Amino acid sequence: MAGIPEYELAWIGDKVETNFNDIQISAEDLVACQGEIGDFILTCNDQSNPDKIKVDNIIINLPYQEEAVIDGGVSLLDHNYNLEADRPAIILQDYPDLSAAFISREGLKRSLEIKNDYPDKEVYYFYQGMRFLEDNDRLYEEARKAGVVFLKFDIGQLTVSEDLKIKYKREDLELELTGTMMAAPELKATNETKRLAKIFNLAEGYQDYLQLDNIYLQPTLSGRRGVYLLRGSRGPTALTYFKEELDFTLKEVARNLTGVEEIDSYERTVDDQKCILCYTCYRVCPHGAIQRDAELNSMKVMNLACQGCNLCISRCPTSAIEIDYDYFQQKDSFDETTLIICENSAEIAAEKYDSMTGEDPLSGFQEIVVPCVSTVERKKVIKLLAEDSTDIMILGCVAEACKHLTGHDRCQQVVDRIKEDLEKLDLNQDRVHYKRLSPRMAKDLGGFLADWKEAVIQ
Amino acid sequence: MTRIGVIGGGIAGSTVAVELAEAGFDVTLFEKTDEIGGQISEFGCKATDICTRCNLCLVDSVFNQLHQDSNIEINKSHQVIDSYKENDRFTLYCEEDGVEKVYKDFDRIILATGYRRWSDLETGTPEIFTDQRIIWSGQFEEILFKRRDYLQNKDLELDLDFKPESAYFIQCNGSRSPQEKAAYCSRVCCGYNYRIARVLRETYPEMEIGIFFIDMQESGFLTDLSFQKLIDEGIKYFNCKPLRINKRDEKIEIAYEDQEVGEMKKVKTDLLVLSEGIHPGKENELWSKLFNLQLNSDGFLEEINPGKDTGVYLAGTVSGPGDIATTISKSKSVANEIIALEKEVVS
Amino acid sequence: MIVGKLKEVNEIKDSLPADLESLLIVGCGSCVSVSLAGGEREAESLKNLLDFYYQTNNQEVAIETETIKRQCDDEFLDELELAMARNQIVLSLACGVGVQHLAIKYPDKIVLPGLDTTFYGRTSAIGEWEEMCHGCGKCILDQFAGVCPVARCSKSLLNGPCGGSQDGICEVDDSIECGWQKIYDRAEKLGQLESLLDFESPKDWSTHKDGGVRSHKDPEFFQE
Repeated sequence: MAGIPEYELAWIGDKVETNFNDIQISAEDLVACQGEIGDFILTCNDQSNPDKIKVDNIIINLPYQEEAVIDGGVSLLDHNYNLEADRPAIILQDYPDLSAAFISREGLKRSLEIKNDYPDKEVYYFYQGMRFLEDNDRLYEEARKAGVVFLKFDIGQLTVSEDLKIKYKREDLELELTGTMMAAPELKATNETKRLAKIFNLAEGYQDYLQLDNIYLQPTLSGRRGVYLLRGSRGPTALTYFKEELDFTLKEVARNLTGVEEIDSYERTVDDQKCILCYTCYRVCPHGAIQRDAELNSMKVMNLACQGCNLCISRCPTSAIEIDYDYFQQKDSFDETTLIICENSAEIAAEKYDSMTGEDPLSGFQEIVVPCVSTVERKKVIKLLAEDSTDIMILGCVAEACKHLTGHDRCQQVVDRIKEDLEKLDLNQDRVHYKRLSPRMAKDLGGFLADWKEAVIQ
Repeated sequence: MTRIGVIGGGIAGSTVAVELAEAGFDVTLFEKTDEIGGQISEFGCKATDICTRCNLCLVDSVFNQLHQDSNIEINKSHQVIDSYKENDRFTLYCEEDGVEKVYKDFDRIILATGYRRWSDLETGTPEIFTDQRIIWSGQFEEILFKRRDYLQNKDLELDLDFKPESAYFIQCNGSRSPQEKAAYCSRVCCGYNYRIARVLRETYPEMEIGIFFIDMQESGFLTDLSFQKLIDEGIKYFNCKPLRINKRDEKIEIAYEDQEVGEMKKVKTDLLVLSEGIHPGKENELWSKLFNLQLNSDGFLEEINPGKDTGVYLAGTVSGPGDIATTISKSKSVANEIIALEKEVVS
Repeated sequence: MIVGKLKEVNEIKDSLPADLESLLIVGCGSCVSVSLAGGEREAESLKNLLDFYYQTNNQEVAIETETIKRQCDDEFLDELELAMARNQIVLSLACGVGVQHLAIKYPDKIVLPGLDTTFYGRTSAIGEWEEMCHGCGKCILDQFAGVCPVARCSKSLLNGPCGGSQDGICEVDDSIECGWQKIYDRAEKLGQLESLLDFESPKDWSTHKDGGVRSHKDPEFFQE
């Protein structure tokens, strides 16, 4: 596109100063995101930014939404506060349950600040756990020396009444206190996250955050290559290690700018005569790698974003997406039981078992290695069942091992459907099996396959 | 062609090696033992009915890539004993089975020699090492590494001569204690012991399980670690460190202060599991001299001048405690920095 | 679009003649594909499943599949000539329109439906479709803040909710949302609540079902 401004990095939300050619876009102004790493096109809806912007990398850096845990009182994170004269200052964290770790740091700094400004003021600090973070231990010691009274409580042992009176009972100490209450708020995702999840085609994760669950090998990565998540877009603990996360994210952005290569080398094309733009592939793709082609009336696969799971191929209702390789072609013998194994877990575990014991646990089976068990198509499994008289065992990944987020769950849906259909036709549904494992389960896999071989293959 | 020397074949060194080799660098890796993998090579998956995100799934593909990449020369059983820098290039002197070997012309060195576990330090009373009822978390990891209960539906083999009906965990051994010369938090123990406790809870629903914490830490990127979760899963917890451990006949007695009422109480257990902190590696002092680095007050290595000026980079737990995901991310980050710098210089 | 749902595979199998020797499965690449029901993928899956069934039951049946863009227009059906010539029994995975059009075009073939055509609907989420329209022939959406009382109220009431609406849920089934609650909420947001008080006279259903089978012609193609 000629004439549209280009940047190396776009911050959605809050910006941090860097040496990149970067731009800040507020979450409310962002309307759409197309393209892939190195070539994102963002559409904005605001006077201060032009309509369309091309960026190479995106960092979504949202603030949190604070929810007060107590009605009245002041948020511990609010730097504008007024202390009531002649009344103690009360700092409360971990109420009703543990706060994010960085809150301990804020609380300790606040307590020292108050003691600094008002040395005679009584300061009480109620907590369940004082988290160790950077130099928290030193701050804690300083605060104690300055006379801050630290009171530890357990779940259910602290009550705060409506008039903000704290009741604390522990050992031989019984306290009822009122004062300026500064309580740690609960941190939640802002309202923008749902919208942004749709715009970036990211799955929503834990507690409405954007894909909090650990993404393969780097926690600030979203499933979509080139889109990173920090702070309030990631989860309550993202603030604890914010500096570290920011650092390694920016280093990865710098590396991306030197050039990125395709992760998967196979060619995937969409037949524009068959594609009906139902958007099913778009919705299931865990990596935001398939999008509408603006010129042709069909979807297209973005090769740099594609991470090769083939979930789109297995779900397209018109079979419009083609790949220049058939995983199921690997099968050359029909006498041996078929093992469809994921390269991210079962294949690794099998190799490990081999190197540990000298025995290949896969021998005697016909193995088909796939990039993800979401590759497995219902129609192909049924065909295999018809062609062979042997069983089919599918071995996929547990949640963390799955490089494609939901791939392992999608396979479960396929297997369940196959079994349902077989049952309706009074056909034996016990010939298809699906198990999930981690690449670390070498011994378990070796033993399991050995047992199964004995039982199934006579 | 930029030559990289990576010292240490654990997860940190392997991650940096793999990333740099993929980007076209010439990488040589030195590992002092005869196996690649380092401390985590025998840690076990801690999944129960759900995956508990222990990060172990992430490491095997890295080691796999290491072995498959032909751009990486792997030298096992090579202990680096000396280093010499001339004209911005390093020469490494190694010892392999008593024979000295010299490797020249490295443009950059990555130091990824890892840590020692508390059990390796051999401090503490000797009984810890001989009493069958007291085990290290590391031993538990080995038990999980050999687990056959997930796929094969067999019992979790505890590798003990007795069948424990109770198990208690003690956190912060070798951490957060100036007396043990480790005032810092090792960052990983609350997380991994929590997961181990969950495996026990799932496998033995009747077992009495408890954990003694000094303040539950937020371990790495694990977010749903909370006291409430422990209550929900039937795991007792004590927000204090025990005062005394006594051995009484068959069971071990733990004395602690019940902070709610201010009394000393006791609890008996068949099995005591001690967490192990992350302690500075044995050769950290040597590296500080060879590569002009400094030791921080906890004994971990730190840069005096940045890696891009000195050519020496630190990766992994050689510079401080961290969990697996953090270590991998930071190691990738070291590689990313080197790659970005390289391309900048060239262009 | 027209939303359809695949029939249970045993129902399909039971509708096929016992002495079946060959079968043509025809998929449709339009609406039913969007509702993930009768497209090429489903056609091929069904073929493989029936192949497996007949093989297991020692019955030799030759099954082929063809998927065309639409089954409701002649020219697309022309593509099926050769396959049709080879088969007497045809299983169409189109909506009811497509099945019948196929039957009209090939009057000497037995054409069986593989789908249950359900409603005119929208895709509300991936894998989920909701009924939106009853095709009543006289659209009154302008009067109800864009929510149709005919299609989205279980009783098609035109002048307000019934007494069974509770917390936005319909009394017919607690998985159904009350259409009138939606009309109200939307009208409130748009400042159109007052207009809901206007009396809506009884609907002329003759443009819907009660006037007989409907058809219409575009005058541009038909001259008196």
